[in-house]
Amino acid sequence: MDALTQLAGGFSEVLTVYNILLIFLAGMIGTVVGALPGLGPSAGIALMLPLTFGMPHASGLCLLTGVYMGTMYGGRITSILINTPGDAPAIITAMEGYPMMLRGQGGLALGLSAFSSFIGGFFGLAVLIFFAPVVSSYAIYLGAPEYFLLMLLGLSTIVLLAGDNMVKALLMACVGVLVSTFGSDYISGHIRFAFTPELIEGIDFVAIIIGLYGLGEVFYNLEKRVRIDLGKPSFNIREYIPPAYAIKESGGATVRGSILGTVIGILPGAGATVATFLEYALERRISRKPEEFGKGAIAGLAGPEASNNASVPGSLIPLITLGIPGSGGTAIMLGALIMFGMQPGPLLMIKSGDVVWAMIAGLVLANIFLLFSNVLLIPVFVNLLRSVQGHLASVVIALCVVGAFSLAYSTFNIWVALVFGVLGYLMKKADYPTGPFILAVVLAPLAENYFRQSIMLGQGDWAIFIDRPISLGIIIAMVVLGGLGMATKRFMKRREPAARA
Amino acid sequence: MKLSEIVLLAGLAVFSGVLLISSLDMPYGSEQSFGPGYIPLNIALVILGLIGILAVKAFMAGRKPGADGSAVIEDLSSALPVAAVIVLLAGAIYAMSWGSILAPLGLLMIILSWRFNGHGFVKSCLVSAAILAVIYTIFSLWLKIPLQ
Amino acid sequence: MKHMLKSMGMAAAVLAAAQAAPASAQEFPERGIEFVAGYGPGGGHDTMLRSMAKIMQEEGIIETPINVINKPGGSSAVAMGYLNSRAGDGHYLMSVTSSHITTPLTSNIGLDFSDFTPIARLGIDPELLVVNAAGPYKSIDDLLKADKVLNVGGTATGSIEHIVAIQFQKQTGKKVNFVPFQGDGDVVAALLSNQLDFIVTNPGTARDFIEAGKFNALAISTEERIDALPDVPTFKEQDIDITLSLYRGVTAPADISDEAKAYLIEKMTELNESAAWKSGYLDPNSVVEGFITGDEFEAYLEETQGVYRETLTELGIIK
Repeated sequence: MDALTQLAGGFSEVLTVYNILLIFLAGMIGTVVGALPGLGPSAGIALMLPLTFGMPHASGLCLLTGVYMGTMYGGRITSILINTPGDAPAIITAMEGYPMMLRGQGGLALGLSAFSSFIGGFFGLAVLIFFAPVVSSYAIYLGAPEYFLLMLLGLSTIVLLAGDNMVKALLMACVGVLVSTFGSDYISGHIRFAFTPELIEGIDFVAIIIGLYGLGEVFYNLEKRVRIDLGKPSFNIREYIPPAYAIKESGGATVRGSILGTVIGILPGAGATVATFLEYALERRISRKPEEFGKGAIAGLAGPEASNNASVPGSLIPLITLGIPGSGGTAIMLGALIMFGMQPGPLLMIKSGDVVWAMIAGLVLANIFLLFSNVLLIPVFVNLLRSVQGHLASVVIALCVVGAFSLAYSTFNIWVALVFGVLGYLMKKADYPTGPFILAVVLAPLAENYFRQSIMLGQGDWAIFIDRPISLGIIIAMVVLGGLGMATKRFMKRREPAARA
Repeated sequence: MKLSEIVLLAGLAVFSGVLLISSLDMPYGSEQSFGPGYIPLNIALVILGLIGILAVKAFMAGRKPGADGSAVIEDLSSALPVAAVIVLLAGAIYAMSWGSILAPLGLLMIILSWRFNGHGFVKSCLVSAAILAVIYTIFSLWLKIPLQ
Repeated sequence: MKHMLKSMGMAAAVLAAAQAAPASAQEFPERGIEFVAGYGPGGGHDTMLRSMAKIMQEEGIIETPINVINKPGGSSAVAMGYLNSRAGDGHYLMSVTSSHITTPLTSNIGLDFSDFTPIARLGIDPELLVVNAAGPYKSIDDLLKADKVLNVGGTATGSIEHIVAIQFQKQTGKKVNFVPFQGDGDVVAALLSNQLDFIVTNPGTARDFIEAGKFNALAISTEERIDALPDVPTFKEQDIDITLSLYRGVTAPADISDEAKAYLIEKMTELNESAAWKSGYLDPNSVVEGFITGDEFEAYLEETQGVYRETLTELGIIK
């Protein structure tokens, strides 16, 4: 009940014409920035930061969190329209959304994903509002051993993303691991493979996905002389509001995705990525039409997209309760809090609780506005794309080049994107799956580091994995689930011929 | 095995070979767990092994009686435009290191629309200029990213 | 037309003069000054330079326009390369922290602090030895008496936190096991959940937790106690000789004119003396004052590089 009164206090602060307009604009700005390849939440917040100086603290914070939330909505737009995800959690969106786009269902994919983003966002917000202190007091008991196991769980979905050739999938996963080893290794203090100074911090992940998906797709289409026919520009709003059958088909997935995203997605680091991939694996497992996955399955799009957005409010929990940022975007929010003269840490809620609750109220508003503004913006984006569809190759290359440049304001990342563009093209041509590769790039370095950190915490003793109760619990759960999975598979196999007979 | 697959596997083999050799300079183990060289070294070896398996499989399949030997030679002419675009893009990125990002990019876009997408020259110029103007407005004027 | 020709002629003359005698008695600055951040927007370097630019202009310390640009990449290696290519031109000022020493040592970029003109150290981030208040350790003595190898947390192997932990072991003879973490937040969370016995971290990270009674700071790595944490004794007071701090400063390209160097030092001194700098940057970021300039700063960098080189060699990170 306490949380509700404080939230009401927050709302009374936020519900002014100025603030409402500001939040609405912030959401729109975030959507546009997030839709540009190469620019994600971190860039969006950083670029808007100078605007907030001189604003009242609550308004400034609302602007920043509105942009943050907006970029998460915007990220799906380029994933679906030009197959160029902006960050790791949006990869699944591209894998399922882009095929829908090619079928002429781009509007439906965008509308549906906006809807599940909204539901996911609300789940996450509810947890933030009612359970933030509880969640953070338990979350700190998760240490390196638990995170290692979680990364392992995420990596195990490679098997599901593998397609029909396991050797090819394994090969690409290994290449992903190798690509992820570039740059400084904080566990040992060594710098690996810095052939040029730009590589000291490793290969930029966003440059990799811009190349692998964006440029790779352009090259492939050039060869096949694919003429993408997206239809004529139209402003018929019906095209963009998901029909009843789609909502029915995606409803369960959205709820499951929201729950999984809230539980796993709020863990700092790769939580959101692991959640989207696990949710994708789950949907595919329980689907009656698993063969549709990878070719534009509605449930495969809606579930992970809900997980993705459920994790956004979650990543704010450690920030506002302990002053610990859980993602790139929240790290910049931390800087903003300091600039506003607040002290992020365990006393933030006590010293500046009113401002924080105003920010949370702003987030609730932003989430509602974003659903509406996105449904309104979808026709704009779709029609923009349709009007240049004859020049799609040059438009996508231009966006990819400029996006890669924006990562570090240098041409180095454009070279990186080109290299991975060639890789993506060859992989697509020779039928090698990209999923295992990209998942390994994200999770392998985390798994490696958490593993070494665990052993060091245990002073060289491997028993740390079974001495810690949560870690032991996860291991048991993994073994049981794995066993159950295999058992049901056998059971189904045995039943199949019987059913046919 | 298709030509693209051979190029892909050869490229990956070279890549992992280079990293394999460079990783020998780094400690393989540390006091308590493995060192920075452990993962690159072992994964590079696994990659080379997997590439070997794929190559042997392809070789065996090729030796089977009745196998179509011409599968190795793929239609090169369809891959030529892609190679051309990749070279053009590389040239454009190289030109960008002299300062301007948008000028080489604009040129590349015009060539793409004109030669590869089959639009008229004037139309290609106009559309490219319009798209670049939008990009410049958003990135440079609005977001203040130093894009020239 | 005439006007244009005239201005072109003037421009040519200025250019010729600049080329003929770079160190002549030119009025400095001739144009706006560029602040170079080696990390992206929103990072520590970026926020320091932007606060600096804002305060210097609001307080009227510098009249010429200041432009903050980001040259992120390679743990500031990219920015160092950028500044190096501007040698001889005093209109550039780059923010420097520990990476200015460690990046040249651990990589092959072929540049180090001596390839630049150190202008000023603006402040220091001391290191604190911090324990969980709910844990069994109330003093350094308790730590030394503990009947086990102590787990110590800090950011990255080879970081200043690691060096402090090694020195602690060397000086007290108590064996410690250093566990590297990716960032300050992870270190704090690990101490909160009792996975570590103590951590080495800076006041900005720990201050709020100390104030909230969750953590206790047992020692600080400065020569004397600091104003912000007057109850925390120094290592030296407890007969452990550790005085190591991170620094935040600015450096200019190599071979700049004496006028330019004197001008930049003067402006930094004015900034350091302004109240707005203390209340607008130093205090909110828990940075301790420690202003030194020019040659003194260069000598400090030399000494710091020596400490890092020795430790990193011992650890086998550099050869």
